[in-house]
Amino acid sequence: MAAIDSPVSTTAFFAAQGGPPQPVQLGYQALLDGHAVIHRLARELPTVAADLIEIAVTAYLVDQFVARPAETKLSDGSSWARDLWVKMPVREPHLWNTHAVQLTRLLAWLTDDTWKLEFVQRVKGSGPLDVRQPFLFETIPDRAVPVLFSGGLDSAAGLAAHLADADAVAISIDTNNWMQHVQQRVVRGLNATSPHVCVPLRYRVSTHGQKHPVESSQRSRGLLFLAAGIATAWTLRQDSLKVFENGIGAINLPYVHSQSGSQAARAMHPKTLRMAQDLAASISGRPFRIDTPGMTLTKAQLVQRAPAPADPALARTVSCDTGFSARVPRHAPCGTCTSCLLRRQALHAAGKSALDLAAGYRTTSPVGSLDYQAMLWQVARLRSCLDDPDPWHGLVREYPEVLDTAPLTSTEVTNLYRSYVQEWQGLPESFEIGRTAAL
Amino acid sequence: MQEAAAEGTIVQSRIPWSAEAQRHVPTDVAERAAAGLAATMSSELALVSPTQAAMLLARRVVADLAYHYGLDRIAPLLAANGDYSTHELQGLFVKVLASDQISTLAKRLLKRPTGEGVRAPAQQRVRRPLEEFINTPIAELLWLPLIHQ
Repeated sequence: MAAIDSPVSTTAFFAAQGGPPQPVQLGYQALLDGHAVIHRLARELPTVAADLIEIAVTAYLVDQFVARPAETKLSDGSSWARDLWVKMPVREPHLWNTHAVQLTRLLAWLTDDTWKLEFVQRVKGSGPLDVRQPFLFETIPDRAVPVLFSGGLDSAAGLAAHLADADAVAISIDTNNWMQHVQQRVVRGLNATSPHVCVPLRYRVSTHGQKHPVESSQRSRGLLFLAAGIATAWTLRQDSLKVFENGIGAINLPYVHSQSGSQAARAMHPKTLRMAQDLAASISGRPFRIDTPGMTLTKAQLVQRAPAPADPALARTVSCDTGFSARVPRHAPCGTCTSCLLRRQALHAAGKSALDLAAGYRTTSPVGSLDYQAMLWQVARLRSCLDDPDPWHGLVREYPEVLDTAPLTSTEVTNLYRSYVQEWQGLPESFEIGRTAAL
Repeated sequence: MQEAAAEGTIVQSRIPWSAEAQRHVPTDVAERAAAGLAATMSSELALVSPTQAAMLLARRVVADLAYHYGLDRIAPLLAANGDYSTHELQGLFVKVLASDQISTLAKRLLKRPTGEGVRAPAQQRVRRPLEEFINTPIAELLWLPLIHQ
């Protein structure tokens, strides 16, 4: 393991709140495996692409290794922010040091933390994404569009709609075997019913010897997914990436105002995508575009766009906050977290309640759940905003966060929330889930 | 913050948001309140006196802090218990935030804009006969002093 002040290194170091530096080395504390991607494409990742993924993975690990302050220590008004210093080896240290501020801003927006990043030269060939043998042939599918694919309902519905017209390369990150299995079975299902082909490309990221992360909020996940997507797009010699996320989930307004900053996650927030797009362009020196065809749609509207033959594949997606956890028996979704509830609301509003019936939730009725009440409370407040003579002003007064949703226009944002509120008003009684489960 | 609200300079984006807001929740709440006011009431802010504009902002900040640290935390609990509908809660909260106590608190915040040393106005407690206490639902007792002042 290299010394902390070495100008050439194989090891990253991090420190929190001015504490002593600690090593974090891919291959020891954590696994980053991109061989499935490299071998499928039969192409080495460009150096900046490999750097981008390794930086994102290192940030993701540090994010998990440093606990945020306990709620009891925030009574003086302090936020949950941390001070994080990370020094990491990369192949192009000059380039990354030049753009460190831009990367720092993106991480700060995602996590609320203050990041200080430094980059040093990586020992040649020591990165987990380095390959030791050049490839003879290229097997990159022609004209296939790179898309992010999580195994969730949005990405599957968007991908299903996309595959009706064109081929795709679905880029995934999995952190355990169950997540990999879900992603693979959904892609198989979509390939079986689509006129076009989807080539799955997956990266594995996991921590060694650590059952539970010190910090579970993991707000830097957004950078991890986007880095994998951008880096793979570059490897495919393309400068665009498609992200299928509904507008309500992407903007993710706080359900209650006691959530502050990035406590309402911003992984696919329009501003996150804007910042990631700008960072990719700065790093590569070429424009980069992240397309978000679902951003003006509710989850229900996005699901409705998927062709009916894709329904069995959609039923196999996982939305639950704990749905990919290896600790949950039979991996059954909880049925009461906001992700489960939004999925259920969307499937019912989209007229696909049959898909909901097959889910086998751990808790059948959300009626007593606080998450459910918080969602209803948010819907009531949104309705009041939209009843204002100027609905956009009503929204801004209640949720100033909507000011940061460019490139969406105020009309698009207003229409998005109007549709969402109407969907809740029009939900069939069968959404009272205890009754649904009894059917 | 007040100048920025009047000029509308923080309307476009919250980035780069202040380092203070990133570390301190009430500052973040206040910056968002200012951004919201600037975006929705720029003409009104331009027409009123600086003192009135400051009062508008202070009231907004106090209201948002009330939601952040109290009202929005208890609303889902009360709704889950079936004590109130969401509509009733909204109405109650509007009444609470329109009270003189909140105006007094907003004025005190203006005198100490950093919030340092701001104290809540003393509650004017009304002595009630024991009989009334025994026969009054607890929930009603909790809300009465705030609503009737």
